[in-house]
Parts: sequence; C-alpha cells; structure tokens
Amino acid sequence: MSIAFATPVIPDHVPENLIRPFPFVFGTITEADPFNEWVPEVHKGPDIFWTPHAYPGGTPAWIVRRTQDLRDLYFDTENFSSKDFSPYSKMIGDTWTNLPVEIDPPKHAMYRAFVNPIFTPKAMAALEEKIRSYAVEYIEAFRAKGECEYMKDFAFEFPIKVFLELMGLPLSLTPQFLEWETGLLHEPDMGKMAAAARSVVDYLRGEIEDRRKNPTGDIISYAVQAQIDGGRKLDDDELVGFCFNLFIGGLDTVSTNMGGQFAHLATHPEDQARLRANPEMIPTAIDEMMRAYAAVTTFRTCTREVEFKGVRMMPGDKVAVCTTLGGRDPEEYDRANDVIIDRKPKHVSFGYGPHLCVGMHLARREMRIAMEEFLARIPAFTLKPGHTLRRHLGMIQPVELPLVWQA
Amino acid sequence: MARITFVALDGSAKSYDAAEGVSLMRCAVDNDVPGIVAECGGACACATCQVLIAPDWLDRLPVAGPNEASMIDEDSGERGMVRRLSCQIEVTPELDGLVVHVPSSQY
Repeated sequence: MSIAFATPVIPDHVPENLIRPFPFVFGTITEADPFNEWVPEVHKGPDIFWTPHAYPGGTPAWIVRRTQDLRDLYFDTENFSSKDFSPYSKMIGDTWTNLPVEIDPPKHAMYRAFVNPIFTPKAMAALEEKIRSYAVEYIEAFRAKGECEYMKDFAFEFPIKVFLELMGLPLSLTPQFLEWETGLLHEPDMGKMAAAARSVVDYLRGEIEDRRKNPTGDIISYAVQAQIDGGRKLDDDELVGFCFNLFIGGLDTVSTNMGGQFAHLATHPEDQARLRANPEMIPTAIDEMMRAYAAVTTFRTCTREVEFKGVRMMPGDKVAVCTTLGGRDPEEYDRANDVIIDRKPKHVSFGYGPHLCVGMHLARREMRIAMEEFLARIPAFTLKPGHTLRRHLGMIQPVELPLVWQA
Repeated sequence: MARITFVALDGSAKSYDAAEGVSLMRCAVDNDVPGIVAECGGACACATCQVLIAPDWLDRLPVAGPNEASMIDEDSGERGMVRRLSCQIEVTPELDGLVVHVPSSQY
C-alpha cells in the first residue's frame, strides 16, 4: 500500500480490544478478492470495532458488521446523523449539503417528498426503451470483436448516458462526466478529489442558472420550479446539493454493481448459462449479486454520547455503514459467501430506513436491461485468460474487466 | 388489538390479530403475506409495502402525508380501491375488521 497516513490518535473511549485493522481503505486498489478473502475474516471478529483509516482521507471510523445492527443504525437517526458523510462540500469551502441523503429527519422528509416523484416506478418505466437503446448501442459496438473491457466499453458510460438524458444535458459530456466521477470516487489524492468536486459544482451551478431562465422538462428544471416547505423555492445551496447528490449517487454506483455482477457471471459459467436460458430470473439474480457483491460504504456521525450494541461512542465519531459486510453476515444469511441466484435475499445494499436509495427503481432497471441485452446478444463469455482482477476500494469496483467470447 | 384480513392476488384471504400501534406493514411482513416487500423497513422511503383499501375505510385511516403521497401515483388504484403505504397506517381499535388487498405490483 503506497499511501502514508498520519499515525492515528486513539481516543480514550475506544477500548484496546476493539481496535482492529480493516483492509478496505478508500482510494486504494487491491488484487485480493475483498468479498471472499477479507469479508469472512472480518465476520470472525467483534460485532463492532474501531479502525484507524476507514473514512476517506484515512481517518478513523467504527465498523458495524452485522446486518441487523446496520438496520438499527439506519433507523437511529437521532444518535447517528447523515450530515457531512461525504467530504466534498467542506473540502472546497462550500456550504451546500448533499440532499436529501445528508439531511436528517424530520427535515429529510420534506426534501424526499420533492425528489420522490422524479423516481417513481412509473416514471422510470417510461425510460425503459431509451435505456435499452443505449445498452444495445454499447453492446453492438463490441459484439463482433469477441472481447470487451466491460467497465470502459459499457459499465462506466451507460449510466452516465441515462443520467445526462434525465438531467437534460448533452450526451457529448459523457467522457467529461466520467473523468469527474473518477476524481470524486476513486482518487486517493485529496487535492485532486477537491478539484473534481469544484469542477462538478461549477458546472452544475451554470446549468441551474440556465434552467432558471430557460426551463425545460428535465430534472434541473423541475428542481428550480419546485416548491417546498409550504410554498418557497429551493435556494442555491439546496439546488447544488440536490444536483450533486444525483451526480454522486446515480453514476458510479450503477457501474460498480454492473461490474460486480459481470465479474461473477464471467467466473461462474453455470449461473451465466442459467440466466441466459431463463432471462426472467435476472431481476432475482441481480438482487442476490447485489447482496454478495455489495459495493457501497456510507457513513454516519455520532451526535451524542451513546452506547450502541454495547459499544460506547462519542459525538463526532464516524461510523461506517459497510453494506459489503452487511451483505455477507453469516448470522443473517445461510451460506452467506455462496451466490445462490434464486435466493431472493432481503439485503441492505440499497440502504435501509428513511435514506433508502431514492434511485433504486432506476438502478434496478438499468442493471436488468444491461444484463438482459448482454446475455441475449453475447454468447458464453469468460474473463480474459491470464487477467488478474484488481478492484478499487471505497466503492468496490473492478478496475478493468476484460471479457472474451467466441465471436 | 384489531383483526386485519389480507387478501392475496389470487383472492385467498388470511386474517391476523394485530396489536395497537403496529403498522399494517409490520403485521403483513411478520406473517409473511406475499407481495408486501417493505424494502426500507417502514420508513416511508421505498413504496414497496403498497396495499389497496376500499374507500369506505378511508375516514378511519390517517391522511397520507406529503412524503407518502409523493410516491403514489394518483391513478394507481385498482378494483375500485385506493393505494396506501401500509407502513404509514398504524393499527387502531377502529380498524378491527379491515380488509387489505395486495396490489398487482409493488414496482
């Protein structure tokens, strides 16, 4: 590991026996298989432990590994605030808050009521054919070649296209958005991360200003016209926070899950064949793979001295909500490390409680269509022989995923 | 305590005693009523605990708040009934005898 972190200062309230190493360091890359090699090891340890380098930037956090404890944590919004779980606004000296995701109840419900109508199942169903046409376009571009780099040639750009469409932005921005997204989510250098955040915010501010003058039917126009809080409009900080949240939540997470799912299919020919023969099983299989390859870790900040499941936490302590661990808790799931594509698990990979992913219906649709079209158009595929899978940590995502098939 | 009946899509009905203060969603999930998903666990965030309720019960139910209303399409009723989120309806003695129908889809 090439990053040097400051020596951690261990607070007095952290008992020595709960200080543990935790290999999932944001911004690093590993050749290990974090899901099958690291997660089972973590599950042999204490239910909750403290580790020095879990939060972006290499600062400490508590790790909660049990699914049920995570569910309780998601609901305990009084002791555990979502405010400032991501570092971006502060690191560029701004005052906006990602919303609704970093707003606590009860105010949260007001923002959620404003965002919900955009992402209802019905609204997303209307996008079905558009999403499918984007997927087909990417797949057809590499089908005859007998190989693709799944992340670069499909997974990264596909959700960006859908997002640009929803936001009313030109599709030609796809490479620019990908560069910013990588800077925000996979960049260990805080300076470069801040520069990416600055660029995104400056760009969004310009678009918001434009839609104020020239409203269209897109999401930014909806936001500048919406009324909340008994009739007022959203202010500048609220609009930036809303748009930035869509940017950070809607792009890389879908790419990441697509990567996890196709890494599985490439290495498990029996599951691949079963889904190719029975495409109606795809939605169920996707939920099982979302459980087993859960990629997202969010954070909460402790608001007051609290004893959570027997562990004393103090105000300001960060708590990692690591769905990667929650998806493979052996006390929650039988054979937790096996992918059983018809399992139909109740997972926390979209979160749980009031902050459950607002874009869940869009994300499921994108992942389903990507898998349906890929399996219908590409014959049996494998990982390119000799390739060692490397993954980003933080958001656990294949760096590259080279796939080959008989063209 | 109130007796709540859940009617599945195939028309089969099962009744359960629900304690006061418990949500209809919790009653359904605890009894494994098929078709009630409740992905967020009862936080008015996922809209996957939708149920259909006959109009003559509506005056005994709490009015849908803005957050609940924002997730239910106005024209999404079925079979002459209206959709509600079952996590937002707490059982009260007045609801004794309520019949709740599972909708054709949660998504």
